[in-house]
Amino acid sequence: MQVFKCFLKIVRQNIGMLIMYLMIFIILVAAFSNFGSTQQLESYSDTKVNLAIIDRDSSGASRALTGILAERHTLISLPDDVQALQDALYNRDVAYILFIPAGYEQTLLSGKSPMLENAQIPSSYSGEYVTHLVEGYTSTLGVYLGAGFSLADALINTANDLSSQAAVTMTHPEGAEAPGIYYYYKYLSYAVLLMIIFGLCPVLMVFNQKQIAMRMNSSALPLRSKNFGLGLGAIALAAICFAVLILFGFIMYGSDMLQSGALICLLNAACFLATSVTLAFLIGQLSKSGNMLSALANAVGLGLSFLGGVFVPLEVMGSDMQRIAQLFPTYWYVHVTDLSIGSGAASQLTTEMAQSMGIQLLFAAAFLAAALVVSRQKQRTA
Amino acid sequence: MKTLYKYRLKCILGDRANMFWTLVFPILLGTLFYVSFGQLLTNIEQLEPIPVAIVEQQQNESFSETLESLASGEDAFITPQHTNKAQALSMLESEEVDGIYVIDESPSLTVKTDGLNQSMLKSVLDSYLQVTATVTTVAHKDPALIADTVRELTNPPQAVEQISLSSGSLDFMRENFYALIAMTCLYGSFFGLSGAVSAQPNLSALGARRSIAPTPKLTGVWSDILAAVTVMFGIVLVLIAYLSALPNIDFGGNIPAILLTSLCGVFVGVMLGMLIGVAVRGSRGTKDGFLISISLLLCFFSGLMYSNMRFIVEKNAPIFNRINPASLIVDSFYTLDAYGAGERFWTNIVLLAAIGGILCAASVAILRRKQYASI
Repeated sequence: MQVFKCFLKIVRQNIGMLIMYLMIFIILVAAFSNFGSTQQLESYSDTKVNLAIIDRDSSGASRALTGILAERHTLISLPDDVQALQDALYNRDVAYILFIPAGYEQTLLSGKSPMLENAQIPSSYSGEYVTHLVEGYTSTLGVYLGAGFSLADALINTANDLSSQAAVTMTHPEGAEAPGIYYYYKYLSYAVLLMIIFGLCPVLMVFNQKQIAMRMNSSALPLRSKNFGLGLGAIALAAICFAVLILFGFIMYGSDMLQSGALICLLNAACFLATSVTLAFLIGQLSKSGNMLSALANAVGLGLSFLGGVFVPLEVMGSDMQRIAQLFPTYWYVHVTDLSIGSGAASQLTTEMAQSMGIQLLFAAAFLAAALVVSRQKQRTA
Repeated sequence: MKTLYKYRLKCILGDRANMFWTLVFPILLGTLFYVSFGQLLTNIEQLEPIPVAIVEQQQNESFSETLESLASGEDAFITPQHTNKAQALSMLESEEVDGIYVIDESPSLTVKTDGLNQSMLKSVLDSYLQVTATVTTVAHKDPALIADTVRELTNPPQAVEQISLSSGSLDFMRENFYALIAMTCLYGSFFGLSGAVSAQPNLSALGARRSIAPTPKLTGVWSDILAAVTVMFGIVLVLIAYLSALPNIDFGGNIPAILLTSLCGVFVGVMLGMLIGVAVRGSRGTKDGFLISISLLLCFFSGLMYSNMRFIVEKNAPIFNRINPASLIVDSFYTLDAYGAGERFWTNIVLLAAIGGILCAASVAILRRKQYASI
């Protein structure tokens, strides 16, 4: 028990780092479960595009066009100033800016087809989508005017025609939105990994110090009980970190944490916990100093999280990157999360999920083996 | 001063921990940014035909023709697959197609969930219905006009012309890379801090040794600052060179302006570290913690962790963007790309230089008053 007590003492000295990563995790989850859901699309009804209209005509025809666009999309009012417009487009406040030129109505009345201008995010569907509506409006209005309707009648008829909407059947009406708990489980992997590394590695580094290792090896304490103490400490540390993180999940999501999909994620997270502990064990064997540890830990933590699809969804990566991502345990962790509580998830344990969890455990075994090789080599040179 | 400068350079270059955080870490992070969402710089928001299943239950020539015209040509809008209803539904379930058009007397659309592609498919159907409605109304008035109306509505002339507001890229993903450069500049504060520590006799043995040397204190401090700025400037240039070597990222052609931005950014970074080193009381660990929190906080507000942050700040507290060096650096790079070295760019540079100057004056003022009776 001496070793175990010493283990806890060293962990307590580094508790600041653990708390810091816990805080980072909480902030990440709180921020992204909100941001994430607003970026997702709303329940059926068409996708709304944020757009700005710069109306330089202010005529009946241009106001009617504005009205129709406002009905279908979200209008954002912006000043007629190039820098303000460019900035809004760049930061995606709006996806589309329509300029209605002065004389728009006059051109229509004279029987010609007027030319409008737009600025949009480069070749985007949302842009095409709005342009389609604007062109439909302009041509329909033109047809009515050409057919001899008065401007007032033409505007009414156009608005009526454009309001006819097709009926759409949805096979999955519950929508594709990923719940907040999805982000919680995704980022959990980063928090687990970093907390375990900064909890476990400093301890291993102390025990690996040449003088201390030699002193302990020559003491009456059997090697077995030293390793037992270390192992017990690692398990206790992992259990405590995991319990704190999961407790936080229950505080935030309550009974959602007990749904079948979330329970699969819990199991999945436990598999990843095993991977993290063995990886931390390996890093602890490799680090020579505190500086090297924080460098390694951050490189490994951020690397695995970015490349495995924790921070950035895998779909946005290229197909080559997606294949390479499979070389990282985080990929398999995220894969199970996607399948169980992501959009359109199955929320039943499937073979694919079980396999992915198995692969994480294989990673754990591989890290453990590598760490044992390194530690054996160190003992020889010690 | 030359000797002091030279040895300070050697000290900095030999400081492996700080070199990791200022040189290796940003390059690593840049690489991770690039491999994980570098694809967004090109791929997303690009038009690709939408896969759609077509189930023909009853002949409807006009709608079939509409679909055919949408599926042909180089900029085809849909890739249709003709099939039966059961097959179509299973394709929809496995997301091979985004929707099913059922051709009937009144055609309909079936989708799995909602989304932009689905809305696009619906808009095709909508405009078909709208054209039908218009034709009916016009026919009531004058049946002779039907043919003209159909032709005009199914092949409307282009009515919207796309223009660009500036020469700059609208790739929002660049914001992350700009913020990364800003972070690196501010990480120059690590060297500023170690300079400040080695200049103070109560904090380091080196400081004590230096304070009894006949060299004036200011000379020592200046050579520290100069050496730190030199190294950090080099590091930032390496980072920029590395990033611009990646496909789809470039910083525009105005190299002198880029150099100037980097230099000002680095100067502010180093001086920030210096000031914290002399003004914050406590151990080296306390100063380090304080420094890292401040620089990461500034970077957070400039959009390093969440790219929209700079704009959220701009809307709610624009003044903070004018005094946050990280935001000023990011905005300088963005402005340079979008509008060139104009008024907004120079305002940023002047503000950066002013912040650097204030930090520098404050550090020197604090440092020069310190006297030690006994240590």
